[in-house]
Amino acid sequence: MKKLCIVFKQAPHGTAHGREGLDFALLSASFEQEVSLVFTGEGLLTLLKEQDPESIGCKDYISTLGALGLYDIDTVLVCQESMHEFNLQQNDLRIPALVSSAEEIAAHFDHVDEVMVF
Amino acid sequence: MIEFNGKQIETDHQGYLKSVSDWSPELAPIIAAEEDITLTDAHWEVVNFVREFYLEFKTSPAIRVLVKAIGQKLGEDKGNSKYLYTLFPVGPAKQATKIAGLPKPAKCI
Amino acid sequence: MILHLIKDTPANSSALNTCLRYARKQTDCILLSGNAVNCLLQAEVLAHLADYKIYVSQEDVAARGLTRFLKQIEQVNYSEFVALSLKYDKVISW
Repeated sequence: MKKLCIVFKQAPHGTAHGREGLDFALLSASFEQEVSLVFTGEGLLTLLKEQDPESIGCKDYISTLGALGLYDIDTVLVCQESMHEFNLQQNDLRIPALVSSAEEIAAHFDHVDEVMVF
Repeated sequence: MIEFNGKQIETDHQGYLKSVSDWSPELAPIIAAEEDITLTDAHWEVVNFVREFYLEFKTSPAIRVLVKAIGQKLGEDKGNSKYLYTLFPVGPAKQATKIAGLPKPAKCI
Repeated sequence: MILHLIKDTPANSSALNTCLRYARKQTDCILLSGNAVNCLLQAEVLAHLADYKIYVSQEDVAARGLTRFLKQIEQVNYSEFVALSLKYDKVISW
C-alpha cells in the first residue's frame, strides 16, 4: 500500500483538472492506496458549500466529496495561507479539513510516497 | 435501447441507461430481466440504496464502497460482499447500478 | 529531498508560486522546463528563487535563445535530469 497525496491547486470549474484529481483519488482509494488530499490556492474553492455546477453545464463532482469517508479518505489538508488570501473560514468548507501551515503541508509531502498535482 | 411503455429509452452498449432521469421503478424489473435477476425486496433494498447514493454523491459506488456504505446503513449482515453477490451474482456494483438506472461505477468488479 | 518540476510560466500558471510555498530551501531543488524558463529573465522572480537550488532544461533554454541570459543557472540535459530525479526521494510535477 502506497501513501498517495493528491494536490488540488486549480479552481473547480472551467477546467477538468479538479474532477480528474478527485476521480484519481477515488480510484486509488478503491485500489486500497492510502490517499490524502491537499487543497491550496484556488483549489481551495473546490470545498465551498452551496455550489451549483450543473447550472453552468459542469458535472457536479463536488457532491462526491461527501463520500470521501466511505472511500477511507480521511486526511484532508487545506492551506492556511490560501484560506487567508481568499478570506475563508473553516465553516465555509463543506467537509471537515485540517487547516495546515505551509510547513505542515511540506512535512506531509515528505511523509507520503507520491504527490500528484491537479 | 429499451422499449418501455411505447417509449424508446437509450442505453449504452453495456445496457446502462444514458440518462439517470429516464429511470422509473417500473423500468427496474425489465433491466433486471436482462441480467437474469427477478427482483425481490432484498434486491430492491440494494437498488434503492445505490440510487439514493448516486443522487446524494453524484457517483456510482464501486463495490468496496457499496459494501461499506450498506454496512453502515442497513447493518453488517447486509454490508458484506457474500450477501451482495448472492443477490447480484455477476457483480453487485455493476448490476445494482444498472438496474437502478445509473452510470457504470468507474472501477467495477 | 524533493525535486520540484515547473513546466508553465508563472504568467499563466500558479505552479511556481504554489511550489515555492512548500519547497524547502535547504534540501529540495526546482527544475524549470518549457515556458517556465522564461520567467528567469525577471529580476523579481530571480530574487524569489535566490535561496533555492535551481536547474533549467538546457534544451528549452537554448530553443528560446535564452542561453546567454541564464548563464548563472545550472543547465541540465535529459540524462542529467533523469539522474537528478533518481537522486531525490520524490518528484512533484506542479
